[in-house]
This record gives sequence, structure tokens and C-alpha cells, in this order.
Amino acid sequence: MSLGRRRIPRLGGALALVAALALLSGCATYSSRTAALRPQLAAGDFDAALKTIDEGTGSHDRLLTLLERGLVLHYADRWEESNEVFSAAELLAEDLYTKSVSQGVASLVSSDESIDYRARPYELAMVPYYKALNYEYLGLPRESVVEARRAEELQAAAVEATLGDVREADRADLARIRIDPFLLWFAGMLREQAGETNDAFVSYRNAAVAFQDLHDLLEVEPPDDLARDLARTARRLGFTAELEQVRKDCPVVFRSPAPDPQEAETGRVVVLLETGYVPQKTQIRFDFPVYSGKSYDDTNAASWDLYNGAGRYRTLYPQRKIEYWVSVAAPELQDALADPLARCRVAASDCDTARYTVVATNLSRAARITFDAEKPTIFFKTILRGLTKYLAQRGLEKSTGKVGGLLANIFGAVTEKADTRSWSTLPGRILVARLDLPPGRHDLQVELLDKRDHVRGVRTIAGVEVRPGGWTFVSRRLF
Amino acid sequence: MKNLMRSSLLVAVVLTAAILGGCSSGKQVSRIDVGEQIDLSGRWNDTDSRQVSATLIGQAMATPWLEDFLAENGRKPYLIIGDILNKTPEHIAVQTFMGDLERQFINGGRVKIVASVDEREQVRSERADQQEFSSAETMKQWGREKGADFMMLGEINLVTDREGGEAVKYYQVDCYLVDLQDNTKVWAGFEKIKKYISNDKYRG
Repeated sequence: MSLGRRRIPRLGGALALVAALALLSGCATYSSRTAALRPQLAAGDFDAALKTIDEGTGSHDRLLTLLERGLVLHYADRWEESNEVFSAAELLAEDLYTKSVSQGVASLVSSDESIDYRARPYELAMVPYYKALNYEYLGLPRESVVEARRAEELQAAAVEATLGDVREADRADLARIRIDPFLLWFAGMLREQAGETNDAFVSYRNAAVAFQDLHDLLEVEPPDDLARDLARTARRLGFTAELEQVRKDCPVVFRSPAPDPQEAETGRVVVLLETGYVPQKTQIRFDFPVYSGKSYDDTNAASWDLYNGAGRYRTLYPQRKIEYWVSVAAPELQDALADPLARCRVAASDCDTARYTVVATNLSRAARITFDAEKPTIFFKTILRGLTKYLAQRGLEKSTGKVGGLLANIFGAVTEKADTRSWSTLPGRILVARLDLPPGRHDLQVELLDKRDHVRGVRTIAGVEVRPGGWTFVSRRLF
Repeated sequence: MKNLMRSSLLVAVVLTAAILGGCSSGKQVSRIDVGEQIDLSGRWNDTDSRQVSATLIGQAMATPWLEDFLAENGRKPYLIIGDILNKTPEHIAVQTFMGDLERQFINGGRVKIVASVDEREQVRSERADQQEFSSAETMKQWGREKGADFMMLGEINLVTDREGGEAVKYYQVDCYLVDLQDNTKVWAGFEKIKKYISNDKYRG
């Protein structure tokens, strides 16, 4: 057999393997596979969005599928289904505490997308928020209080679990955001609505402390209404000394609280406006050198060595000859462009009352803090994977000849992609305004304002029911 | 070299088959005894509901309030099951738990249970219907309902202690019987359930 004819079966075999691997790993990253999702959601085409989720997610994305589906169903006003899906997500998230060793090994020779997706803490923390809203809309306020209790414990547990995978030196900011101040405040409002005044005060107090500690880091604004909530519940409970202590500990929350109106005569309307999207991960590629004659027996140490030298690797070992440049793919968080929407002015069309929103939660910022904490570990794992693939290729080439090396090289190249998975439909920020309105049905006008307070658009929320002394929660996604 | 090519193709075929066919063995359904204890997630389940209700009924029946009432009134007391508040961060089917309590009271035969508010509305609607359409000898009369002597109230609380993949859950169910005439509590009982849940950090 001539050399030319022998190359044909080699090529055929290699191509067959590459085809199988392409099927196995999928060539596209998660963010590119689900690129249509956000436009479909913005257009209100929920069925198409659900189809994109089903088609764009794989067997290792079960949790992600449930999170994306749960939110789309929430926006589609399919609240019961949304809660079923979110509940399944919570159970799965608990099960995923146990990591698969085989998936970990597979990720070293393919990509991190071969590991089951585990939600980030700020993502898991939003599940009780949406479930609580679903229960509110279903007219089941007692169940929404259950979610309020869950919200308080879930994020802290998720942060703990995530910190275990993060290098100690990178933990500081992530460790601080064990709880979202807004979610504590939200939990307090749900508890007060359910008549649990004492528990509500505790939630409000914790929210005030969290806003005081984290408003700079998370880039959120402590709401004036929180101070009113604290004052009102403290008055009912006779907690004068406790209120004074909170006032002293959390001056940023008590800057200028508006007076509380007569409780029984009005109802409270909580307007929650979700804007933008959390930043999405994209794939970047970078190369690092493998040196001739250098020992790579300890791949972990070699990978950290390479990570620490990234960007100045040319000067790392100038005396050594470069044997090979390894090309790898890693995720990068793409911060969204500045939101043109600065705040909103919310007013009832039949009342004088108008209130401006505050940025109560900033998921974009939480995503950035989380990613920055995880980034060194992710890049280390990426380099380790590239090195493992290259060393396997070199070993195979030595033992089986060039074809073995070629196959390993193709395997490595086809499976090399960044793990860009994240809950992509989450909003970037939630703006909150609270209105005290007389009982009855009201239409709310929402003016969208830019940084100069120019009106960029108006939305109407029609038929908001207000009960005397009651609470009404209204949420809208602004696209 | 041929062997290597064959191996490559075999690997390719196996991988493709695994992707297309999936590796799961599919859904399996088997019938089990309703009394069998199966703990899957560590959350409140049917076994907890049955166990707690049986214990509480046992406690309620073993205390002197019942004998005192019989001695004073010469009849069995009428009870109504009021609200059992779920104060846990879990969605607990409180209605099922209340149903378990009610059933055990009724089947014990030592007290009589009055229908709940919703059930009474249905019964009254039927009685109203009878006034118009039933024969005089079978028609039921207004104003002969039994008023409850006692109301059972309660709440379920949960304390969770978590560390890494381990958690200890401590449920406490407190119930009270309140005299509807004078608001005195004639009985208080509780039952505790403690569960240890552990998740391995790694699997194969």
C-alpha cells in the first residue's frame, strides 16, 4: 500500500472520531446556542423561548434548563408551572452538591461543559423570589412566606458551597455577599403581609444591616421605605431600643425616610421593575507555551505557574526553547453596556402620589463579583486541561506514532471550548418603588427616565387592586 | 494501524450511540405499601404527617381534659380542627396533616369532629336546596348544627443546622386545644422529628 493510499483510511477514521466528538461535546458554546433566547423573551414569544431552551441545553445543563424554563413560564403568567419547574430546580441543586468524579476527569480532556451545571449563588437566591411572586399572583400569600424563609437561607448556603471551589486569596468579596439585602427586605414585606410582625422586623433589620454593609460593593441604593418599615413594625412591637440600635448601626438606611401614612386607610403597592440582563459569558481563546526539557510531572503546579505567568510568559523562561503553543478556550464575563434607564417615576393615574424607584438589587454586579472570585480557578483549570491534553497527545504520539498523536490533537481541538453557561434570562437590576394608595383599582403610570431625568418611555400597569391595610406586589420586566 | 483505525471507529460508534440512545435505563414505576417509610429529599413527607398526627392524638387522648369534660357534661366533646400554621421554609401540605388528625380523632371514637368552615358552607348549600326540593319527611332542618366545644390550633416549626453537605433538620409540631367558651387551653402537646441528611461530596 502506498503512503498516499494509507492516508485515506487514517483520515477517514480521524474524521469519524471527530464527528462523534463534535456530537458529544457540541461545537458551539451555551451562549451561542441560546443566542435567540433573549430576543424571543423581549418579544414576548414565550413558546419560541421555551423551544430554544430545550434545543440549546444538553444533559449536563439540567439545572440551567429548569432555571431558564421557570423564568420564561413566570413571564408567560404560567405561575403554577413556573413554580413546579423552580421546585424541581431547587431539588436538583441540592443533589448537585455531590460532584461526579468521572465528570471532573472527563472535563480535563474535553471541556467544563461536560460537568453538570451548578447554579451560582446569586442565581439560586432568585428562585424563591420568583416563586414567591408566583404564589402572590396565584393568591396564595401563605406559600409566598415560605419562599421568604427559603430566600434567607438559600444564598448563604450556596455561597458556602461555591467558596469551596474558589482559591482562598480570591474569596473576600464573594464571601461578603452571602445574602442579598433586597431579598431580605422583600422577605420582610411578605412576612408583614402574613401578619408575622416580629419576623418581619427581624428581616427588615437584617436587610438594613446588609444594605449598610454592601450598598457600595453591590452598587445598590438603600430604600427609604425600609426605614419606614422598621419604624412601623418596631412601633407595633414596642421595640424602641431595638429601632434606635438599627438607626445607629445603619445610618445610610435612615437618611430621609418619608412619614408613614395612616396604616389602615391605605394599601401598600410594591412595584418591582426588572431591567436589562445579567452579563453573559463569552468565549475567549489564549495560547500558552510548553517548553522543551521542562518537567510537567506535577501538572497542577505547572498550571498555576503558567497562570501566574500569563501575559508575561515570554519572559518566564527566556533561556528555554518553546516546544509547542497550546491553544485553550476560557470564559470571559461581558459586562453589559450601561443601562440607559436610570430610574422610573411611578404614579397612580387617579392619585397625586408619585414615587421614584431605587436600584434595590444589582444582579449584574453580583455576577461580576462571583466571576472575579472564580476566574483564577477557572483559568487554572483551563490551563491544566490544555496541558493535560497536550501531554496526552505527546504520550500517544510516542507510543502509537504520529496518527495517534494526530487523533489526540483533533480530539483536544474539537472538544476545547469554554464553559459559558449561566442563567441568561435573569434581569441585570431590579428597581423598586412603593406607593401607598387608597383602596380600589388603580392604573399605574411608569415613566422610564434617563440619567438627566428625561422621559424615555411610559408603561402602564393596569388594574392594580389595593386593599385597605393590605399589600399588593406587582412586577414587570422592562425590555 | 488497521487496529487503531478500527478502534477509533468503534469508539466513535459507541460515543454516537451513547448520545443518541442516552445512557438512562428509563422510568420505572412500582407500587409500594402506603405505610412504607421512604425518605428521598429529607423534607417533610407523608410519613412525618402520619407519625406526628398519631402521636399528638395519643397525647390528647391520654390527658385528663377529656375525662373532665365527660364527667361535667355527660357527653363526648365536639372538636373542630382550626389552623395549623406552617412556619417552616418548606411547603408542607398542612391540609393532609389536618386530615390525618381529623381521621384519627374520628376513628378513635372518643370525641366528635365538627365540619370545617368550607365543608359547612357546602352542607348548608345542600340543606338550603333540600328546603325547596326534598320531601318533608327527609328534609333536614335549620338550626340543629352542633357547635364545637374545642378548637385545635397549632404550628409547625423547623430549625436547620447545615455544614457543608450535612444538615440536621429539627421539626417541632405544637398543638393546643382551646375551649371555645372561655379561650382556656385545656391541652397542649408537641411532637419532634429530627433528621440527619448527608450528601457525599463526590460520587463515581
